[in-house]
Amino acid sequence: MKPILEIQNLRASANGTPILRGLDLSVRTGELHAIMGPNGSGKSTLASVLAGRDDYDVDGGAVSYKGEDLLEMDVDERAREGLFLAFQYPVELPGVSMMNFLKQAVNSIREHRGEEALNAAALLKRARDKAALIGLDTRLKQRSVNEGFSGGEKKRNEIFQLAMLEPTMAILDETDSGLDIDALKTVAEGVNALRTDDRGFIVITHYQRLLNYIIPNFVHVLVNGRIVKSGGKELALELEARGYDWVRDESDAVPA
Amino acid sequence: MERAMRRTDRLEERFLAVARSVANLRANGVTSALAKLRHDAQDSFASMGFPKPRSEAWKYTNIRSALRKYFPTEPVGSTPPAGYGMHGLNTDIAAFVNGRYSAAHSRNGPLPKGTIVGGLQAALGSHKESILHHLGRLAPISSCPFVALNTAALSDGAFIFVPENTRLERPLQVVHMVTSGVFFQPRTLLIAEADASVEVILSISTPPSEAAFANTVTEVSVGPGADVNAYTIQPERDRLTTVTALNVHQGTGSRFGSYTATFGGEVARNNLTITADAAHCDTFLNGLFLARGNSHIDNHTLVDHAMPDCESSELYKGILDEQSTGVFNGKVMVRQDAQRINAYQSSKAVVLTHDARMFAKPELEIYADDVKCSHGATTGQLEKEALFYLRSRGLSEKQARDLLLEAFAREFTEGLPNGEIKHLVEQLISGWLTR
Repeated sequence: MKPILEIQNLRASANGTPILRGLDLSVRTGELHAIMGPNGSGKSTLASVLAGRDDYDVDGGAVSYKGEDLLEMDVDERAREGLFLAFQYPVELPGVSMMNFLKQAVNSIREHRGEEALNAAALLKRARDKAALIGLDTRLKQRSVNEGFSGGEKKRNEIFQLAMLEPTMAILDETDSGLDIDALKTVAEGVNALRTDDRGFIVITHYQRLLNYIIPNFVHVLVNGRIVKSGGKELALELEARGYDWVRDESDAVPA
Repeated sequence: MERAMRRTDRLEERFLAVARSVANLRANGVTSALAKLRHDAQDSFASMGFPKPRSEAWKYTNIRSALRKYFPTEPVGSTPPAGYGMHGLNTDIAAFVNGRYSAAHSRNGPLPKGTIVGGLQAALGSHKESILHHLGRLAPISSCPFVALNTAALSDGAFIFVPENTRLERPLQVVHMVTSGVFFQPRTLLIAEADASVEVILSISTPPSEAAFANTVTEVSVGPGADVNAYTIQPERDRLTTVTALNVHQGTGSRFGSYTATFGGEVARNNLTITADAAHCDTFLNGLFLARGNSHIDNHTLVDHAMPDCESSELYKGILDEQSTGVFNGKVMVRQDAQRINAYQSSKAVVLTHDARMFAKPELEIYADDVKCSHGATTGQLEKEALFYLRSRGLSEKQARDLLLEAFAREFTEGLPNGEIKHLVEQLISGWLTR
């Protein structure tokens, strides 16, 4: 169990409005951390800042990733170093073929690791295997990236890419939103199959529902840009039953 | 002011004098009808002059300053540049060196009976009536000073004749070459008779290290029920200025497609005029232009629907990098008798830098009441979220950008009816992007 990600007192803002106000979190290999919290608490901002989206300003704190300063890395460098973000709203890319996109993504990461580039046949084989794992309709691979995909197909495609790129640290940003129960189950099974001893996960979700199928090692509650409560999987159930207000009240009682 | 006027006059006079002398030099054997056309064209050019900077049709393209750099002279030497035409295609080639058909540079398989691929002047003997019926009529000398100037010096050029019910199996490349860097005026006449079918690839070739100016005129007659595709491929050349006129007339139930791919050029101005003056015509006008450096690419199109039950579809896409400029001016005219017309037009451009510019001017002029017309013009940058998405998967900024630009261009390549040409254009696009 090696540490992968160490977030210390992270502060970030968008257009001058502070969103993350001193967030601490550490993730080690083999762990899956669920981050829950009410709307506007900063869940997606955390995912965006970690992936390197430049709409946010980091105002303070530190993020160490595999011992390196993550915040110093470019977006693509983070990805090549094994950080993966499953988007809440995956982008449609008309005219960009899935296979060409996957080839460039897989091989730029492999080359960075000093591995040999996959040829078309090897890539196709891997894509077939991983698509089966996620329950992704293989015909979608013939299409442009996410173009005309349903909401569920888009989310499945994110997990499919996760499987293809084999990251060290995977962040899932509200992957459950917009999924019906069947799709949710398949996606969860896919994620579970990808949980390995050398990989860490952060799963951001608004609802406890997903955590019935993906059992977290830790659950954190994010309120007002800070983690105000952490616990085991049972915390998610408590949140489901009682809502977020009681955590908010509890955290208000503690002086900052 | 007076001085400026005099300088202007000198510019026109310089080109006209050469046109006259070329015309006189090559007067031998020219029929009187052609001599008259040429004479009328000289007068027409003299009265029109080159487009003034404020003329509406040339608002964004200062062609006078490009012209000032050229002294129109006869080309020197007899060896055309090596590597002319488009490679990797299974085509016939009709090559013209300094305006004359060159068998040595051409390559023909056996052509179907009655088909003619060769020089205009040589064909005057056998096809005089047909030639004089179309030459200067499809592209009237009054339509544009550059057409007038080309016609003023007209003595020879390319002549392609595809008889009734005849299909050319392979595309035909028509390559106009010049042996030294000069102002030159290629001319092509293509006649596809009723129910004929032909694909032509139009290109020019000039010595790569020398500056040149090509004023080309291509006239195309698409007979009733005929199917013609014209591909204009303009490679990346820093010191080449081109003004092209492609004038097309379509007969009843015919289909014509123009596919223009421009990869640069100091100035490239393409005037495309399609007259659908018969019912049930299908027309496609597709273009792609990629520009960097100080390249200036101006596509000026007109579809003139004069008769009912026709359909036209137009798509122009541009990528503008560095300090380049793109212009799209597309006009759709639907005349009073042209009922039940469907006309679609779309122009989209990606501007990659702060210094690159795009001017788009779609125009619809409709006099009939039962028509379906639409047009849309968009100019923007690459979508930031799309770039972020790709980079978050490990693609470098350049890889992400190129992938999105290739995807942007794909809408054009997907519409190319010939698979081999499509493949070639895709290669030219990725070559341009990786440069």
